[in-house]
Amino acid sequence: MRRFFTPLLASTVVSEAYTELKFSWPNDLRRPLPGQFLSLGINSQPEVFLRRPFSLSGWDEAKRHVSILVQARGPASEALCRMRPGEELDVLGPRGFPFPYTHSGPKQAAYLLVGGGIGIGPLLFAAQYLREKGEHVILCLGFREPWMIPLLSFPRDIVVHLSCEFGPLSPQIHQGKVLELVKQVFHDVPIQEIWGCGPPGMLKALATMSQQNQLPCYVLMEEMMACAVGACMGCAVAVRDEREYLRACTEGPVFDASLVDWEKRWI
Amino acid sequence: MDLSVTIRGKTLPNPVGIASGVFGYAKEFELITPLTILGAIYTKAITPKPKSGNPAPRLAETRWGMLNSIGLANVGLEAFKTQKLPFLKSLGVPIVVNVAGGVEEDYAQVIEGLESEEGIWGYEINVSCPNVKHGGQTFGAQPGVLNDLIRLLRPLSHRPMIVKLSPNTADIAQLGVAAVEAGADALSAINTLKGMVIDIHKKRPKVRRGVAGFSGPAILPVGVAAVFTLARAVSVPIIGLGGISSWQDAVQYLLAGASAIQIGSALFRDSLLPQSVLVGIQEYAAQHGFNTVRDFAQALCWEGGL
Repeated sequence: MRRFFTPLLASTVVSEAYTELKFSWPNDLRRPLPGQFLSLGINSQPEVFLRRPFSLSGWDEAKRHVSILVQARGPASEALCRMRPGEELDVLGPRGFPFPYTHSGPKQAAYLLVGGGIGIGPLLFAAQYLREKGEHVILCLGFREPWMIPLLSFPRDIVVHLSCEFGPLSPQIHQGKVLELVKQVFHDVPIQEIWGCGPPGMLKALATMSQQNQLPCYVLMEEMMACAVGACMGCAVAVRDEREYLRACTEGPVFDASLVDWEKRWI
Repeated sequence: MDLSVTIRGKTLPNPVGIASGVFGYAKEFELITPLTILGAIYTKAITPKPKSGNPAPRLAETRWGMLNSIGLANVGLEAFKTQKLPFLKSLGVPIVVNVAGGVEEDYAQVIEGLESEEGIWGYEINVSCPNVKHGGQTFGAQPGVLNDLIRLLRPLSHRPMIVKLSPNTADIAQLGVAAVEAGADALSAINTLKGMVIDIHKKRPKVRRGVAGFSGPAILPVGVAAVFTLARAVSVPIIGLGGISSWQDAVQYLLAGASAIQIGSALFRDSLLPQSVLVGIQEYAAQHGFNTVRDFAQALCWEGGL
């Protein structure tokens, strides 16, 4: 982890809701892993006081480029989406523990990756990573409205299911909640592990479903942060053991869903 | 030019410190903030037993600032001594331990527990945390109660004792006088203001406890006014903090009468801020012919009365 300043290489509008920002990864830093995040300083907007955490959404091994996905919904994210190639990013990272992965040989059972809204970012990176490791990957991605759905290209061997809560849809897109897709996948395909990121209500439901199906489940908790380096204790996540609270920036942001005390999490 | 600050015979090499609470135990910032240039490090508040802190969410952002409701989450006295102090001591920077508690005996216990430890420059007595039900601000809101607490603690140590005051009071000068009469060697001001942000969509406060501690550039004038008022009420050194996000902000505090400053939550945004504040203060002093930190306060052009 360190703080570095680097020019934005590319800004791509991937849907009306999301913009992908791409930049170079310093040579002295190890390649980042899915689930890790960066903290960005929004230096063009002085009234935006805090840095903003963003999960990594992609990694290009050959070029050593990383990307993040940004949804414009406030002064900070709007400023990032307006940035043009060549403008400088103030980056702190990589931070946090990634999704836990230990290669345990070829398996038939799939990794089920569940993303809601802007929470799809880290799962796109995770899908790419798990495919590199030869794992079988199923992505379930849920969106609120059709205009949010990004144009994504995946290797053909990654199974992608999309859902959308409102609006006119194509026959390939499930109308409803992403958890309904997850239920269907549980029914149809053997699953070995679930990774999720999205609104806390979705993650809580995912935790319950994984417990009912006795499957390990890891969730990426997108908490508000101040320091992002483990000092301020602001990004506390309530857990069920004697530690009571863990820091999303340091012990997280990926947590074993069965460890999180969902009754204490404000939904 | 010598911008060092002496309190109870002990020296801070320069006026730029890092405020309690934003820096953890310094190790967290090791890779992103130059540590050895600092004039002082004020530790996370230490209580006798570990504290896990307030319910989440604990943070909210405002325009030009933020709210925190951490609730003095800390590792506790024993773990501080064994796990955190060795690194802090190794830096060669004055270490000021911020001391907090729910009852008077808690403060005494922390100081007594640290007296045999080397490498502690002094104590900052936290009587101004707005985020705990017991202790904290309850000790800092009434001059009589504050006076009693400092009288109890004063005999426990020969190290400098700085009393950190709250702005959430009608008359901060009265509290400063009460602390100094009881033996405080210096005052630091200000702790966070009480603040609240409400989420109008969810119709609930953004921070779980409702009211939280408000910091950031928005509170700068409140802090400068508090320091200005205190500097005219007491004769001990005053350490100014609250809203500093540039060297110009720090110079305002010094002109108002502070002998040193602390950088707080603006460090979250810019981990290199301490260095630029220090350089800015030095260059300003050079340009204006100031040789000591006291020259700043004496240079303030102001003829009004309080």
